Amino acid sequence: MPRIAVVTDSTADFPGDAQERLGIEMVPLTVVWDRDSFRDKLDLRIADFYRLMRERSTLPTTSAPSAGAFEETYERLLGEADHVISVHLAGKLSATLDVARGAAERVNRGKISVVDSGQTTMCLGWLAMRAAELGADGGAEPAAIVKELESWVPRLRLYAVLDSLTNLQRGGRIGRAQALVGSLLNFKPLLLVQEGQVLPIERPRSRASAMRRIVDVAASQGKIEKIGVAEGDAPEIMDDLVRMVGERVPGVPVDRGEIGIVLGTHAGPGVFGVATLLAE
Amino acid sequence: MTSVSPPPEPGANRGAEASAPAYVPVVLTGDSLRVALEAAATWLELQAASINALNVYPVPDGDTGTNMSMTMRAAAEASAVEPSGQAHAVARAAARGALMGARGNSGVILSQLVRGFAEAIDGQATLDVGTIAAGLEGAARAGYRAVGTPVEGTILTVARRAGEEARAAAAAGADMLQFWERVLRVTERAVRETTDQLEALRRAGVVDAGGQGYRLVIDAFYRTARGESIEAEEMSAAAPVASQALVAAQHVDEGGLGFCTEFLLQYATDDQQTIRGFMESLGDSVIVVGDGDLTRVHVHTLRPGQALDWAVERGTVSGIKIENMQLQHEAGRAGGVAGGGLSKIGVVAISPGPGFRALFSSMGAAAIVEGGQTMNPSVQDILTAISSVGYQELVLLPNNKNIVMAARQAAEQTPRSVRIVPTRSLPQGIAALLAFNYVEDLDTNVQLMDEAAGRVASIAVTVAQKDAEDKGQPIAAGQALGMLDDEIVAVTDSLVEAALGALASAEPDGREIVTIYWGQGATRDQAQALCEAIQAEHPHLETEIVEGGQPHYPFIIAVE
Repeated sequence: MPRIAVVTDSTADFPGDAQERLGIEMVPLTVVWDRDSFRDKLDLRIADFYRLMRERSTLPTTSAPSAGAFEETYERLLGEADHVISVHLAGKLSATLDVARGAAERVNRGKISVVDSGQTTMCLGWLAMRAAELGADGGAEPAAIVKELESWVPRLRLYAVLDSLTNLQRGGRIGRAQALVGSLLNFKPLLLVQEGQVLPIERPRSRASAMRRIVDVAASQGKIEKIGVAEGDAPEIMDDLVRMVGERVPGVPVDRGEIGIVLGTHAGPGVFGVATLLAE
Repeated sequence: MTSVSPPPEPGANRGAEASAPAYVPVVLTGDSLRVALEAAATWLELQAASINALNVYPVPDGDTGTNMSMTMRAAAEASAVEPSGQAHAVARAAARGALMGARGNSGVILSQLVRGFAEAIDGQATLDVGTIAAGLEGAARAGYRAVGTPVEGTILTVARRAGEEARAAAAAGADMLQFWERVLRVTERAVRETTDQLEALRRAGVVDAGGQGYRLVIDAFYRTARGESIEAEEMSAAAPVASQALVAAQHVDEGGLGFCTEFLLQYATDDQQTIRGFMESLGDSVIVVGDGDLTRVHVHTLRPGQALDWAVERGTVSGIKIENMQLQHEAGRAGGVAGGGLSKIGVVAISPGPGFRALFSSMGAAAIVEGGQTMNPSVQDILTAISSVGYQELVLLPNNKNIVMAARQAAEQTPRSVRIVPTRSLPQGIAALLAFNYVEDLDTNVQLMDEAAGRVASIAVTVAQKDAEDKGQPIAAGQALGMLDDEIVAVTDSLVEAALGALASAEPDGREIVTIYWGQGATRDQAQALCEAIQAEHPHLETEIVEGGQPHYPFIIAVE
């Protein structure tokens, strides 16, 4: 059976040490800020990033990994593995997927499968974990793994509450949540990311009501197979959020993660989210 | 592939009403022209959403219906205020109004059709079928002239065939009713046939959106000739169009993107041909139209700045609108893949004063009816608002206990699905609107909005107008009254203290957020002072200050 290597990008978030344990390779996106350039999850701690965001008057921008970064990674991995599964941030939200596909073409198209997660953060992390589990010890053929991941994509939901729409709008990833822009009252936009779309859901006014609504909305979409929560610069609410999710969806372990600085750039400080995988 | 219901045949869905009316007008007067224009505007507004869904050409910018309805509304409004009763004066006023109000590619072409009609009937006090035929032919000619490169299978083809049939019907001696029947029948056929005339339409399985819009205009004239109104028939005649049509068509037309650039140019030093020539060097979909010293320019270009730079050198530029069609294109495509996207439910709110009007509007209310404590809107006012939006499913927020009844009556009198969330105060209305869920259905939304309204305590602070007594307690004129959900709970000498007193009765410990809307009789500084006092007394509460501009109540406060 073939030996499988799994690659994802730095917008994937994992519960605990899952990434290291499963040997999942991570290619970082980059945050460019004034004259600085930071590799996501490598060069700058998230807490420091949000401290800088409060101090600096400018906002950072993000950029996809270079083609060279992907080519180098693929070449190195194909030295040991027979096939690479490379699963990434939604192609509708970032050029990362296109860069990865281009690199795969040049390195060895037959031995590298690039998969559009339509997702990010915990949902992307789950896909990478699933690929690694299926591929461990030569367990599955690459085509079967890709098919399995693609069957997950429509069942993944990422609900997120932002503190404001400012960063999302400025970064141009606002999608149909544009409809929420322009309100004369403040609220904490509750959005859904599904198959690469950013959709508006509701407009809770306070963080407390946003926490209740995100749990309610996420839990009411069907039978839940996996559930997780993640935050950026909002660690103080995590225990409460995990407890609320646990009460609403008993019997399913709640994964916890922390988003990196690339997603933080687009979501802004204080973001938190609930990710689900719905049962088939 | 999505299919689209064909436009209904005249009379096909009108059953017994298709019998001829008792009275057939011989001529169209200035007044009946006004009625027809009003009907056309209403008809287009009712159908705007379904026409938007058809839009695949020349780029899928998705707002043909909205643009045509707004343009026709401007024409109708201008004709309504024209003092002359002569048909040609009414038409000329409509043409001017359409030109000034024209929005988007389709709106500009429609404005030229109106203008061509007006020019062709110049000098006619009333219009017989022969004159109307000349008008419809003139409309088509003006349409073709306005577009740099006319394309068949669009509104131009539909307008041309309507004009040809009008000429033939007039020559055959048709009376006014027969005349419009024939024109409408051919117009409908022409609209159906657009599907096969343009590859983009054929692949999407839809008819041309602009042509469909023009059909509604002709239909409005037909109905006016019959003495029918649009309102009465809105349900049966509103042939629903598959809203997925746009989505299905998205992959067809990938080219020609850039910035949709529009502006008005007054006192231009160059003639329209020169302006058009330059705009065509910058991009495509060029439309340059105008009357006298006012020219409207529309171009799809990658370089909108150059178009404007050139224009400001040559005249007075105003009404600039630039939209990124790439983003619009992606937004349209994005909506389709998720199989839905934004809600199909509209919210109509009743609100007093410009401040709350702006608030409701900024939060996505589809229409706002002016009204409140001392000026309750009529059922007709509410019905008009319901009819003005392109939603078949609506939620109505009365926002005042005295308006709930009128809202219920209005809801019963429209064939659309209108549900009332009986909000009794503006804070309840705002809370209900913010609780709106973009992906849920009408029932769930009514429930969510109802619950949200129920969670809000509404405080109103006012000044006693005369000496009075409330529950045995004397109140002197000029005292500040703090009311919690319509009950007086605080009587003091200052507005801020009355507000704090009422807040103390609103179980503040269990609340999260307080919004202070200051209106007439209060200042921003007073609102700020109140805000600081609330923060000092209740540090756990989040506070926000908003200018509500409401009459009678210096402060309205929402406690959630």
